[in-house]
Amino acid sequence: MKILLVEDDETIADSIMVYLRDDGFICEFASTFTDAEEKIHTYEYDLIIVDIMLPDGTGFELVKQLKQAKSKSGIIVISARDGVNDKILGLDLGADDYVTKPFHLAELNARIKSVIRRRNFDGDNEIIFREIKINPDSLQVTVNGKLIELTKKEHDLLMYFIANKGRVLTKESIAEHLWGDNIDEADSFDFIYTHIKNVRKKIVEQGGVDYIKTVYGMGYKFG
Amino acid sequence: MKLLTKLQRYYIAFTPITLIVCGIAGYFIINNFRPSGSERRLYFHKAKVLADLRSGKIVASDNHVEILEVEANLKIVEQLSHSATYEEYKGQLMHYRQLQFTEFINGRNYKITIRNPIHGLAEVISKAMLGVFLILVATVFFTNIWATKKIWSPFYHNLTKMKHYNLSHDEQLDLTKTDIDEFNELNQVVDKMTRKIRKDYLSLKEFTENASHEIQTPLAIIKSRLELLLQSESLSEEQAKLIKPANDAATKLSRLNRALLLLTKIENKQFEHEEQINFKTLIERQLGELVELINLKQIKLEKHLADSKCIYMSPELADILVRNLLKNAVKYVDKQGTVKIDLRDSQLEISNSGPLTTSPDQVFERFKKGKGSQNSLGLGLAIVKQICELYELQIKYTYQDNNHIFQISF
Repeated sequence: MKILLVEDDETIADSIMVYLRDDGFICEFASTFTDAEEKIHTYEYDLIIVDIMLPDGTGFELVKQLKQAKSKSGIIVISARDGVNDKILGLDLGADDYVTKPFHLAELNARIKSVIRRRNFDGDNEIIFREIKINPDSLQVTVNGKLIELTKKEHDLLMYFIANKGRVLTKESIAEHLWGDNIDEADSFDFIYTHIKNVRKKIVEQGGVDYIKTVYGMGYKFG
Repeated sequence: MKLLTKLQRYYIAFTPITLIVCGIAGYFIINNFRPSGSERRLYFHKAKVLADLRSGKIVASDNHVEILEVEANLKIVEQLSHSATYEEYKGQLMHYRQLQFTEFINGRNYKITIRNPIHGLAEVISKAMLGVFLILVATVFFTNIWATKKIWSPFYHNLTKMKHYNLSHDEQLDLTKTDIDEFNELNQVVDKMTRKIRKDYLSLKEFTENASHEIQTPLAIIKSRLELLLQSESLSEEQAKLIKPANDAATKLSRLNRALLLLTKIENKQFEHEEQINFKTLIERQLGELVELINLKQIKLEKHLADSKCIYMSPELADILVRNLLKNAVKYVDKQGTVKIDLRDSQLEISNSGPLTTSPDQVFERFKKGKGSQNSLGLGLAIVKQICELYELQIKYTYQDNNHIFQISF
C-alpha cells in the first residue's frame, strides 16, 4: 500500500512515517503544497494524508484537486485547528476522514486502515487475524468459525487492536479512540479494563487465543 | 450646513408662498363678498333717486343717499365699490356697498352716492382669517413632516446600517454622506470607532487561532515521539515508568490549551452559526453517550424531560453546555448515588448526590476542581458559565440535602 504524507513539520512527518513503515506501508513525503501537487498528479497512491496548514497553500486545495481529477485515493485530513468548520469543510470537499493534532499514531493508523478498506473493497471485506475473522460492515465476529457477540465498543476495541497489532497501545489512546473527548481519564481506565476483560472472555470461550497482552505501566499489546 | 439651517430653509421656502397665496385668495374673497340682492337694491335706489330728482323733488342726503351738486366738468362713470365709515353712534366701523356716479339732471351736475350697508362682512373677514390661519397651520404641519422626512432619512438609513453591522462578517460600515454637518460628524466618529473595534476583534481572533496552532504542533511532536518510544522492544519497566507521566502531561497540556481556547472564542463571540436547539433531544443524545459510565458506576438516573422552549444558539456550544453539566454530575456523584435531570418549559435542572467538595461560590471559577480529580482541568463549569452568559441564560448552583444542584433558566 502506498501512502503520501503531506506535512510541513518534518519531525511529525518523520514520526508518522516510521510508524507506518513499521506496519508495512510504503510512505512518501511532501513538505510543501507545490511538491505535493506535483506528486499527486504524477503518481497514484492508495491513501493521501494531508495537513491543512502548509506554508504555500492549504490542504483543502489539494483535496479539491484530487476530487476533480477523480482520484481513487483515500484522503485523510490533518489539522491543528479545532474548528468544527474545518472538519466539515474537509469532509464536504471529499476527504474520507479527519484527525486533529495532536493525535495518537495508533489512532491515525487505525483510521488509515479503515479508509483503505472502505475504498478498495466495496463489497465484502473481512479482517482476518489467525482464527479471528471480523466483518466490519455487519459487525460480525467469528472465532474458529463460530459467531461471538460483541457490543459496539468491544468491537471497536478489537478492531483497534488488530489494526495496530504488535504495537503498544496506551490506555489513553484506546480511551480516545473509543470515546473521544467524552470521558474522563479515571473512569475510562475502569472501562477499558472491563471491555478488555469481556473481549478476552468471549474469544477464549470459543477456543480462540487471548492475544491481548498487558504491558505493565503503559497499556496493552495485541498479538 | 447645520441641521437647523437646513430645516429653516424649508420653512422659509414654504411659509411665504402660503401666505402670499392665502393673501391673494383672501383679498378676492373679501372683496367679492356681496350678499345677494344688494346690488339690485342699489340700482333700484338709483332709479328712484334719478326719477325723484328729474321730477323736481328734493331728495335729502342721508346715510344711504348723498346728493352733491358739482361742477359741470366732473364726470364719474358709474362705479360700484366698497366703503366703510366709522359710525359714532354705533361705535364701530360700518361697511357699505356703494354706487357712485355723476348725472346731469335738469341742467345741473350732481354727484350721487348711493349706499347700502353690508352685514356680516366682519364675520366673513373673520372667517377668512380663520381659514388663512388654518391653512397656514396645515402648511407648517405638512412642511414639518416632509422636511423632517427628507432631512432625517439619511440619519435613519445610517442608523439601520449600524444596527445590522456584524463585527465578524462585515468589512466596513458604509455610511451615507449627507450635507448636514452634525450627521457627517457622527458618521465619522462611528466609523472610526467601528474600525478600531473590528481591528481589535480580528487581532484577537488571529491570536487565538495562532496560539492554538503554535502550541498544538510541538505537543503533537512530543506525543508522537513518546508513542514511538513506547514501541521499542528493549524498553525496560523503569524506562516505561519515566515515559508515561510525560505522555500524560502532554495530553493534559493539549486539553488545557483547547479548553482555554474555547473560553476565549466564546468570549470573543466567534461562534456565529446559530440554530433552534431542542434541549430534550440534546440531553437524550448526551445521555446515550454516557450510559456505559452510568451503568458502570451503578448510578441511579432519574430523568424527567418535558418539551421545553427551543433556544436559538450555537449547536456546538449547546452540546458543550449539556455535556459538561452531565459529565460533572456523573463524575462527582457518590457511589451508587442518584443523578436527576429535570427539563421543563423554561428550566433545566441537573443534580447529583454527593458530598460537598468545593465552596459553593467558587464552583464556576477556573481551575477549581473537586477533591480527587487531579486529572480534571477545572474548566468545565467555567465554560458552562461563559456559555450561559453569552446567551443570557441564568445559571444557579446550590448545595442542598447532600445534593449538588445546577439550575439553568431560559
